[in-house]
Amino acid sequence: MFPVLATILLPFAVSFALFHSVVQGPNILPVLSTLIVAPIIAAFLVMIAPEKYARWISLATASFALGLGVKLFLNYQMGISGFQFVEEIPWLKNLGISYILGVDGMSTLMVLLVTCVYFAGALISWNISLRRKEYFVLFSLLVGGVAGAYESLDLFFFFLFYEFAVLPMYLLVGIWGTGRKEYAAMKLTVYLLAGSAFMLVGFLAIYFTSNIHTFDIRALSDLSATGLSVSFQNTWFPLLFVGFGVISALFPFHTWSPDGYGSAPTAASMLHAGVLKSLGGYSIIRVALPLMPDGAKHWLPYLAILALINMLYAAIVALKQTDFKYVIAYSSVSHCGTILFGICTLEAAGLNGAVIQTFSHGIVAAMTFALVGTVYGKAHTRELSKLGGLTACMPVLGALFVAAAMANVGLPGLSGFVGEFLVFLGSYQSGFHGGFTIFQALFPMGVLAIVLTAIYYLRLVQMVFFGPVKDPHLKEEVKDGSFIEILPIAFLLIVSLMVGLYPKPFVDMSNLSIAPLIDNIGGFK
Amino acid sequence: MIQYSWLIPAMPALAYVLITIFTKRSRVLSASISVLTMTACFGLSVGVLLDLLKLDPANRLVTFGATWLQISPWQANVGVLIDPLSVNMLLIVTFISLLVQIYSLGYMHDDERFSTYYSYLSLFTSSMLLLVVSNNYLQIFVGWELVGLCSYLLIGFWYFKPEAANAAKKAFVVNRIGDMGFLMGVVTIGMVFQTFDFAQVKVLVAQGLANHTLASGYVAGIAILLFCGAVGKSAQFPLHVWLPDAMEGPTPVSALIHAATMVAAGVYMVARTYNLFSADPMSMTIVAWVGGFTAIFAASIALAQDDIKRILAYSTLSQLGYMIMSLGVGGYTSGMFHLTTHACFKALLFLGSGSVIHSLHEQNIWKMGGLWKKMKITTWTFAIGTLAIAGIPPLAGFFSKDAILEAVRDSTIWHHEILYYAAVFTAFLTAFYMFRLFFVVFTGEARDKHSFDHAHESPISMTGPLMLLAFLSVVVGWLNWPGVDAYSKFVYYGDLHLDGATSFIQLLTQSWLSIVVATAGITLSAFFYYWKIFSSEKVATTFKPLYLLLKNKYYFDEFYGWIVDNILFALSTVLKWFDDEVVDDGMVDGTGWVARKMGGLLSLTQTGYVQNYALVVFGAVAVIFLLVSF
Amino acid sequence: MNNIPLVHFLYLAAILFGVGMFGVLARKNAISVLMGIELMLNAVNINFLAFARYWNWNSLTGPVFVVFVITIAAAEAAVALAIIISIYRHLHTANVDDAHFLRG
Repeated sequence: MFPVLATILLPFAVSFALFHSVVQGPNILPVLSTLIVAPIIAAFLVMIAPEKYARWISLATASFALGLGVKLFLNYQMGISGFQFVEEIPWLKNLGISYILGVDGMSTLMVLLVTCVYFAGALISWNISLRRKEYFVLFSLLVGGVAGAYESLDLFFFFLFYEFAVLPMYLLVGIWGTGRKEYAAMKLTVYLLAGSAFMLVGFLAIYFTSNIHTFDIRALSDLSATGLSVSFQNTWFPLLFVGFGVISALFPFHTWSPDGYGSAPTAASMLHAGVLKSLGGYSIIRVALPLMPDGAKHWLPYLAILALINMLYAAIVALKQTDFKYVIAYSSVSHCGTILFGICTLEAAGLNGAVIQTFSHGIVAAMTFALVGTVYGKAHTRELSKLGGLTACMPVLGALFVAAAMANVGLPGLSGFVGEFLVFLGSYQSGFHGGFTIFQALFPMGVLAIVLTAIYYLRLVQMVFFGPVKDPHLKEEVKDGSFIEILPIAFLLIVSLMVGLYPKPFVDMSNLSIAPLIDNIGGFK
Repeated sequence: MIQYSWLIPAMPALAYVLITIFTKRSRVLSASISVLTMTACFGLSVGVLLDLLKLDPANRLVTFGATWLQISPWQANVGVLIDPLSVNMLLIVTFISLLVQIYSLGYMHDDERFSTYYSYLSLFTSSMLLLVVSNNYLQIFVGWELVGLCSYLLIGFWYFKPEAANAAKKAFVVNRIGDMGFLMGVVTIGMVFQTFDFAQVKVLVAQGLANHTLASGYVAGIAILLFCGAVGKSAQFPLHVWLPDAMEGPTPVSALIHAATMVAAGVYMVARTYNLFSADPMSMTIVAWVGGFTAIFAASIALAQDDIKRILAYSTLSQLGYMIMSLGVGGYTSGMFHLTTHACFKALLFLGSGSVIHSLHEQNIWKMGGLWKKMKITTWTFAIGTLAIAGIPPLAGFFSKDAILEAVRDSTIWHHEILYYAAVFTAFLTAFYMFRLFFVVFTGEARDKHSFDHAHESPISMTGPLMLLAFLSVVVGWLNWPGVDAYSKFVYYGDLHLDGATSFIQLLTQSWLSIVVATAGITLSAFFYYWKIFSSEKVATTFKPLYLLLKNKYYFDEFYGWIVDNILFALSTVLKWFDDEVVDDGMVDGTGWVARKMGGLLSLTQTGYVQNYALVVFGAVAVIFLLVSF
Repeated sequence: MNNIPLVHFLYLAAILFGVGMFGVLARKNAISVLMGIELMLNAVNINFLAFARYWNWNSLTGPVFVVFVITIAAAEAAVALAIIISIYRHLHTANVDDAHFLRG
């Protein structure tokens, strides 16, 4: 336990000190690039180091990254909107491609999310025994890719980093997965690549149609400069939305999610559900809305219906699942529906809600998947009919699972509530101001989702953790989570509690991106 | 003291954290942290009360807070609002919680999750106090949900019992249905008034109604949405089904959460947002009728129940119905007063029943009997509680219930005379079924010799709170002694309004009807169950359909169960099939299938014979050559 | 040599090319196929040189191409023979029709 704590705390402290001196002084260490490069360097180190050091290297890097993420959050200049910590290196100048990194309020939150989940994921992978070296190499590469995608301000590099993240995921699911892992890996990857194909086509269309031939998101966000016509926007916005939507498991392109998460190893599902999936909603706010505001205004009321179907449909399907992990997977789909619904409202409250919900869903889904993985590792089954009464043999994990369920259900005090509440506020606001009465109809149906979520999560808690112990072997053999298993889950719970108890800094942070965006677009009014 | 009032919800929250993280292993430490915190909270609440009394009666309102989240134009605060209403609730919650925690020292003594139990109690009290001191709609919703969580945890405290696990789930889900309305109401308020603050909304509503920029029907709509929450939390018809099942939890929990405090939160919320309700007669009428109907509906079910705690649960439903009805007909003070007295005598009754259960390990009243010989203190205190709830003067229940009946009689809402007679009849039923319970359990001969022999009086940690509550059940009503009217002068809405009586004798003569029906109820009950002149079995067989209807609670559980099974779960099955077969196997795997088949067709051209390929190459060159040359 | 017209060279090249193509397409023995390829390459070489000679002898483009072709033909023959020997060892035949592993 002490070496673990030392490994975690030492790099954390070092990175704090390092970053502190860097941010105050001249820009020696480019923070954002470090966040991308550090996991990749870790991957190389793991490759060359003996196998027994693999998890230590990974954990040390993860805590270093977490330190950077926290510092980034704390050092972000709150008064100023726009991008900070910008790094710009021209790459293919003729084609308008540059390596640009930068964060605004929203992406600062997302980077923090990535580092939190990275840290928890590194801990939860502690006891991986199969091909440990390769596992940690791929795991680190995945994080590097995701971090890059959240930090990129260039469409080309955004795409590059995204693809960079998808491929390790394929191997992680295919090799370390369970059940129909090859099928699931294939399905997940093909889906995500199909989504990115939509994305790429959309990016290229924007690139070639705009008056300024560049991939720089900052430049492209200025509609007067790009001169994208309304008809162009109306054609291409839904395409881009669906492309990003596939990443966020938009109905009817959601079926990769249950199969993929059902088979993926724990840390991979955590990173995927927590971070990679959130990229969809994030990119809609980052790319689709500012680049094509008129298309957004035209299409979002209809897409809102799709998002609402996501929320309700996935929740209803989750009711009857028989596999522990599938319920969580459908719940994740349902929550992504909430995120997309929040975006569709095109109001400050709704979009802020979507961002907070993205953050919250990342943390909470990671926590829930970590719990499911840990329980599965002990009980060796995920069949709900075979589980039951597990609180008796694992009280701490049981209590944590109830907490996770409550966070999913949107209980105030945990992060889920803040996001959902703001999304509902936004959806009503949308209906309230504009001529779009569709939102007035959708709002109560959206609220219905909170009841359905409660039903299937409590059913899950009851079937797995409450009631008498169904399998007597479990009671004798299964032990409660060890320190190293509890630590990442408790860590994520604390993050969720922080957002839930005092959301102001987080909402302020996200509003730094949202408020100017809404000012620019003007909402449905 | 008032500036420290934010500590009242904060301290038990801290106690929860301390117990959960540090003192799980030590029963003594956990319990003492929890009990000491609650003592401090009660002391602080008394201090706040004394401070508030020093203020001028017209300005008894102190509020302060901090920003919780901010998105223009909204600013959601976390804050404290201290006025007579919230101080009233603060005192009830901290006091009952303190007594229940002391009582639990004895009751839960043998439970291996003793520390966890105390941590949950602390968390509950903290959430409840957060709800009570809230100065805005959002915070009250937050507290509202948190008490729901604690209720879930405590009902399911014995999670290994399938009934308990089921009941916990049911309570949470049913509450959520009500909360859906509440949440929509809160969002609508935020939308319409651009603020969540009670005081600001109150001003804006008054202004809007005065200069006709706001339709009173609209306000009524918001009020009804909020009321949905109250219907869920206070277990009013049609969301009443969770409360009787909630009795699976430990009995002290039932006393604290499901009798005295949490279920009263709905009443408190309606009182807190009374300006919205009183804006339009429509919302008032709905509130009054829901309450009135629940009162008589639940009382009738209680007639035919056999489980000691369930009888008390239905009685709670019925009394909550009284309170809601009182608020609906404009009896703001009487509703809150009944909440106060009810908290005392219902907590007493529940703790008394807990004492019985602790001693017998039995909940069916037909296996009890003659307990007065063995449990003197429990019997006496229970008797006082029963008399109080039956409304016998000069006990607490008499004053508050009579005030409600008067408020209903004097109101002007739609068909209030029907409500009045229903309420009077409910009073009769209440006296009847409560004394049925009392006579069957405590008098006569023991029905189950074996458990009777093991019966014993409970330890002092349990009887102490009983005696204290019994004392209060007698005297709390005297706060509103005619001519003194201390309570009415403290908690009121709008203008101070006192009922006519100036002396106790005058009050007795005025309210002869309620005394008569209560006495009649008791006498009839005695005929059946004490002197056994009438036979209850005979009545039950004579009116068998009616008896079965009551016994099965009007089949509401079955009805809702049918809806869940045949509509929700059927829909889920269909959609799951759709998802697996159509979306996944059809569309998704279908796309894959098409791609594979196309590949299969094209692969026919790949013969593997090199010379075939060469021929194709040369042929193609020849064709191109020909095309180019002509 | 100038009195031999260009067309004659072209005829020769065409015939050689035809013979080589026949070898490639029709012969089953892998060695014969290889020889056919060599013939075709040499036909092309003749064409290169002929055109170079008759149009612009000063430009080295044609001869240089031929040198390259010869070099690459040698390398190609070496690789191809190695493959053929490998196939022969594996299948005990040099018949190209038997080596159809890539059939779809």
